[in-house]
Amino acid sequence: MAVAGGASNETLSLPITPMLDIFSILVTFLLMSYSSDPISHDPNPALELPDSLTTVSLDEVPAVIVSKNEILVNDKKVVTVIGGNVDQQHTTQGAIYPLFQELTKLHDANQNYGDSVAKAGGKLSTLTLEMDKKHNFELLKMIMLSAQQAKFITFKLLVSKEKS
Amino acid sequence: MSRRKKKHHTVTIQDVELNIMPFIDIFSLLNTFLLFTATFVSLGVLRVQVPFLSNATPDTKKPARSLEVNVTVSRDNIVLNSEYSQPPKEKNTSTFYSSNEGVAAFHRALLALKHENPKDDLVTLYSDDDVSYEKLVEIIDAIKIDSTIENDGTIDNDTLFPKVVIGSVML
Repeated sequence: MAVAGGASNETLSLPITPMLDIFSILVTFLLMSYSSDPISHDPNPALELPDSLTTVSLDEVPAVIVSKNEILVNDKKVVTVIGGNVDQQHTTQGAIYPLFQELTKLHDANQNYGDSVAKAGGKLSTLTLEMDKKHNFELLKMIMLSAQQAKFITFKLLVSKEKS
Repeated sequence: MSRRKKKHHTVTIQDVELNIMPFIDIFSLLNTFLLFTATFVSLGVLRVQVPFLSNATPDTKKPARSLEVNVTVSRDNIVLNSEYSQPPKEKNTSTFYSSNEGVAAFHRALLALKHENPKDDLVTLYSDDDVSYEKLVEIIDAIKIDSTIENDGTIDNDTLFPKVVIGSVML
């Protein structure tokens, strides 16, 4: 117990045991939640993720982020989203052309980097997508079409885990 | 050679006080660090596919008569179509509202289908353009995740129809 002495002869004692209890519990909780997921990723503040009951944890950082106002590939802005839609001048055959170009570069870089992984049926054609829950399927379809043409055929949709 | 004299320490009973201030300092710093770096939103992923053309040889292990399940989502309804690949086709169509109760009824219908056909694992999903991403994720959840509570209190993940193909994504 800590003791504080003043000018007078009286001693004032401060009970710090409850504070230590709280600190211990908080540290335990934070340390436990720290190690639960394989990777740590902060969702983009400009978007809201949909809730899901999935128990599958995130295993790679999202490559494509679709916030309320823009589409980013590896944190590089590719195109602006206005009212949930992409400007017509950027779209061709239902796909978003600048996004297709960036994803093609990404696919080529992945193949150059891990050709052996690709030959072994690795996960090079998988794209992790972080998207605002208020967008419509129309935009998702355009993104998926762009990715499909850049040879990405499997998608991991990033969601916020909801407790069942 | 000098002789060392042994010193005898006398043990006296005193007030022993444990200095816990360094301990509190460490706890405070650790707490601050963890609170600043912690991610409080638990993130997960839902795996889906889009159709693609392949020149790979067809899967010979696939049973001759399998169940084909199609789900069509519009703003207000979810239509569940199921039929077998070989006669008797037993085509069946059910329509559900896209409200929470409707999605729950749709999930129960899928559970019944899975119970009858435990080996079938693929659902093709079609969606209208105006369906929100949030609703779509809720429906993918209903297709993929068996909400039946296990003995240990957890839900059984990816065991209902784990393979979801977004059929609308076609050129």
